Amino acid sequence: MRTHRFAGYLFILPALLFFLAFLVYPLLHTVYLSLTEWAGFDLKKITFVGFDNFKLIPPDWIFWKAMRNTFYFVVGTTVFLNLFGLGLALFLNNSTRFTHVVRTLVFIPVLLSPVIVGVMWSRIFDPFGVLNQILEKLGLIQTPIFWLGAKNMALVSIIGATVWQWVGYDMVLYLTGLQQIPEELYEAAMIDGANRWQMFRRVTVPLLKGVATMVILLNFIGGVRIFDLVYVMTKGGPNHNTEVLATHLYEVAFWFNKMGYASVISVIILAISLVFAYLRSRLMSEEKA
Amino acid sequence: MRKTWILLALLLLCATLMLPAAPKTTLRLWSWNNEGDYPAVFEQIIARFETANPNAEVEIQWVPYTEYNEKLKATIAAGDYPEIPEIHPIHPGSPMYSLYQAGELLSLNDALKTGFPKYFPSALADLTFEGNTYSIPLDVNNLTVFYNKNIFKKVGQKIPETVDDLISLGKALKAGGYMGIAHGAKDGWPAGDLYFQMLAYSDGSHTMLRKADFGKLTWNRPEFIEAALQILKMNANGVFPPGTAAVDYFTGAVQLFTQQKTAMFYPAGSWIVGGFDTGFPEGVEYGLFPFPRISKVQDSASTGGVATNWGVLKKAKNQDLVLAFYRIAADMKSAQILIDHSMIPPYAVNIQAKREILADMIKAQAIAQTRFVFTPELHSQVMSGVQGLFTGEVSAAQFVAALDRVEKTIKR
Repeated sequence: MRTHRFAGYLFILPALLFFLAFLVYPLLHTVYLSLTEWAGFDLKKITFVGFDNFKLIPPDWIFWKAMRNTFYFVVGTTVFLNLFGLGLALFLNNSTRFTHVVRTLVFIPVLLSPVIVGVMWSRIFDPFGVLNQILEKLGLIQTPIFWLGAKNMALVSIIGATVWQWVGYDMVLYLTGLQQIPEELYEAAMIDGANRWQMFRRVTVPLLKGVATMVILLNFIGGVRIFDLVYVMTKGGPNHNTEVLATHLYEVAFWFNKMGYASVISVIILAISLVFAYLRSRLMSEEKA
Repeated sequence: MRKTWILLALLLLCATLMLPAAPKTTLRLWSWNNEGDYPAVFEQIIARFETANPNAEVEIQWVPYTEYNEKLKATIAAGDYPEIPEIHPIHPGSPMYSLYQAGELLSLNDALKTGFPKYFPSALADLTFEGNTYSIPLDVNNLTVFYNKNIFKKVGQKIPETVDDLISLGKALKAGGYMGIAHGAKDGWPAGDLYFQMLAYSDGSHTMLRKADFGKLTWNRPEFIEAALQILKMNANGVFPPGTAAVDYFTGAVQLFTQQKTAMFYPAGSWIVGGFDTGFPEGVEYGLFPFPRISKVQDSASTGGVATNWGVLKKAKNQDLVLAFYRIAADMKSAQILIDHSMIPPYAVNIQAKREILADMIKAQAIAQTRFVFTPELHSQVMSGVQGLFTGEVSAAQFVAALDRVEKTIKR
């Protein structure tokens, strides 16, 4: 019995070591760095400063702008990804050649690098780019829209590009959920005289609750960590109007050489993500129970 | 006996031929400057160095500008030093000041005494900190306005001398179906350069930027406000295309100019000439002029400084070879290579530029004022603030107030 237990530990040892070295250690080290002052070069020149770096948060107005933008981004992407993801899943929830083709097309952007997507959408959103040219030719606008250059449009445009890239992912998750709903339930509802809307409300929605919870929380976690698309499309500009927590962290760490303060921002992003991750696991265990 | 000697000699020859050649010393050149003609210039200088030093070779490693600091730090922390690193000038707040603080940089004062040319004092001043020069300039630049001569001729306009002239020119261009100055403010640094250019006029002493940069002067001063007001004025009067805050430099702004939608381009320098030569349709001629002055009584001024400079890391190997490379990069043959590629050497040369535009650029070097802000937090805020001026959400007073607010968060 004891030998078996020992063998079991031995089997999980590689994974455990990997987990400790590449997840737990960097995480704890980041927390430690948040309590220090370090320019990022010499490991011997790390000075412990206690909670001094945390005191830099309240007066850092760019941080608060980034926090607000991150919140808008998370909410915006989550709402639209779920609306379009579910809509597409409902529309494509049958097995024909047409739906297979459309599903593949919708999923292709998920496979692209966010850098490629960012560059592509930057060109599309250029004031003299293809989108404005089309809108102008259709007579919908007289002067160009500054998609990435206007205070209120830039973040919305990035949300649009994000939704375009990731809607296929949410669609696949919802499709999996839809395909697990027994057909008999719809048949029973039909016999009871339910119309399509009633079937959707009374059968589909309750049975998709588990999948929807998971998808929403995944979108939240992904949104809090957003960096690549924002950095490529606007670098957080104009005038910090698309600054998010991760782009601010990057600037503080690698332009301002303030690793300690950057680690504080990392810890905050981590804390927010952990709250969502905890909620997700809590809701999933409740679902199972 | 004779046969034995011949046999022995043959054996010795075979043994020598079979011996592996002495391994070459490889020097790694790190640079973020893979735009324009820099790769070609680097390759030609490297070829000259390798001819002079057959046992050495130089390998170029391009590192994107945005990742450069981060990667250099990582390699230094790992004890793996690039021998020829391009670096930023060293001053408090510069992105590489921590390299100096960590004692990683070699002072080049002694090395510069032998085998190097007499650099322009303004070039060395930017690279010297507390009496020590930490890097060697390869080339310098100054930022001017490039203009499309064909369009100017077509709309019957001459080179503007003042901002007011520029505004009138903008109106004439609009009437002719063109826009004014293509400017890639989205990338941040061109926006910063526009501000420094206006400051070169609003602060005639050319000293306030450095003082404010080092925290010795508040930003809430008439000179700093005036520079911002001039940008607001030009933007409000259609000098720049609509949506300039969303236009990036190397694609958006360049295309606006080369597709002849705009008649001018700023900031332009030697690095962009190659791009325009290939981008313009045949027959288009372009020239340059210093950015128009705020008032007619002022002298013209452009901004500029060292474009590319290299340092020596204290713990890097083969430092003598590295210095030999730098000496070759700074001799007259390399100066000829630079000029052939529309670049400006940081020392006086007796070489006639083949093209009028480069000869004008070399002349404009004489009126160049610094465009460096070494404190990254302040530089970042200047860039964002100018974007805010373009989007109309920031006033001149708010622009300087934000800089003072940032200054308060900096630990000096």
